[in-house]
Amino acid sequence: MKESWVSLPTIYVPMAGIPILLFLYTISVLSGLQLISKIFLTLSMVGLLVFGVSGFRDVYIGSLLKKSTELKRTLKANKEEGQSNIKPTSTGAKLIKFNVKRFNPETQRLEESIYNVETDAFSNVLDGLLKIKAETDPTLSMRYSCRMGICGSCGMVINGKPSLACENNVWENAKNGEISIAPMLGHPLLKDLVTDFDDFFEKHLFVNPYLFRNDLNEKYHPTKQYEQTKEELDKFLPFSYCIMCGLCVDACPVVNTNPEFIGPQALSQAYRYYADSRDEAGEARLEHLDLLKGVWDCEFAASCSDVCPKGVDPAFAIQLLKTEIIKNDLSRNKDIKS
Amino acid sequence: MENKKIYDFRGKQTNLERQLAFNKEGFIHMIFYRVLIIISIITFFVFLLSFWLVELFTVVVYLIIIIWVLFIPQLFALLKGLAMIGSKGIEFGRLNDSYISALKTNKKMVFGYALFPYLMIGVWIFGLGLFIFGVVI
Repeated sequence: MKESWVSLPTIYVPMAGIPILLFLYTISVLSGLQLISKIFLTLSMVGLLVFGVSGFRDVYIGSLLKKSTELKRTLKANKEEGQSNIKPTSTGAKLIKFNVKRFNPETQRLEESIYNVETDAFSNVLDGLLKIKAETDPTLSMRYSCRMGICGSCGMVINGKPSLACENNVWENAKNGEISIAPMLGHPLLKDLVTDFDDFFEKHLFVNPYLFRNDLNEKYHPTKQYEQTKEELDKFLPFSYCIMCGLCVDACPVVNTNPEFIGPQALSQAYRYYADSRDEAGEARLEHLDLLKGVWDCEFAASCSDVCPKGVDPAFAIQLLKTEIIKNDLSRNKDIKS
Repeated sequence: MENKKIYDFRGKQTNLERQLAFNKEGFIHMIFYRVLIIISIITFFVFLLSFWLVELFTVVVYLIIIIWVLFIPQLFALLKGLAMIGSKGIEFGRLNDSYISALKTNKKMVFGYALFPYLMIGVWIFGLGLFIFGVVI
């Protein structure tokens, strides 16, 4: 259901309004216009209250609603801990220390296991983990498939940054011969490095990630192609590169603090379909996303875009959606008035 | 159907710390925003109280200075967003490299978007100077 009031008291309006009012207040004080300065000060104070209350509801109440499971980190190093790292071997390979933080579902804790792995210049992190699984510890669990950055299955946190294990070279990422690997804590955890994607796919489905057409006859008995110009294609093309790896959701500070937020992946896909000239659900899509847990929860930290391996730039897509929603609301208000 | 046992780490403000490893600017933006929310509400109520206790108006002025500073990353993000939208993601965006290079080849480049947020932040900081020297001193 549409929350029609949402797009007004959101971050953007007070953020644009308060600075202008504070500026006007300063100028009117300097000009000696006492009454006007008081009006501007009062308005900016009211703006601050709206900003504070809407932000408080959004940031603090949202995260209070969700009780998170407390995870405690314990250290459980294996026998190889303490061995010297980064030793060149006779074959030109190097020993790299893999510090793997594994989620133990029985203790509900992150436990650290340390493995020394022989790697060569071309080894990626997934190669290293598979080597550990094959040669040292068969209990190590991870999700992977294509090994070439296409399927998006092997998302994990490498040296603190959400990344695809198959796209990260070990030597380039090893700091002082060590590499740190952890599961994506922005998703619910299952075991070791494996995360649960049910919530992720539910949110993806929430934005109706498919084309809507009104010409049902054409849909079931096609007679022509839906042609697009280069300009029409450019509007949504980069957003269609998403491989649903979930790295953006893991990196998003809003999802990490308030899991109710739909998240950057789903929203970028919402824009991808909204911008597609073949889609005929434009306004309905915008109304569907004009929610606090929709586009307005995005605080534009742009972490999602920092980690996206395919250059989808979800942060950009969300800002475009916000702009479209505001434009849509303004044009509708104009229509009502006229 | 088997029930999955899942454990959710999300939902805590302390998770913001994760940003530090890869997006320090984002971390500052998020922290300042959270502080700003609280300070904004406090400022409003101190302002209301200052109608009865006139001495409290000095506190309001100092709180405005804090708000002015806390607004810097918020405003910068907003301006970056506007520049990003205006330049179709070329400035401040992180769109796919091959797409961006094709876009740059096929379209006329629009200059100024890269400078716009920095210029406006300069104006904002100049405004703070005006406020301190004009209103406080």
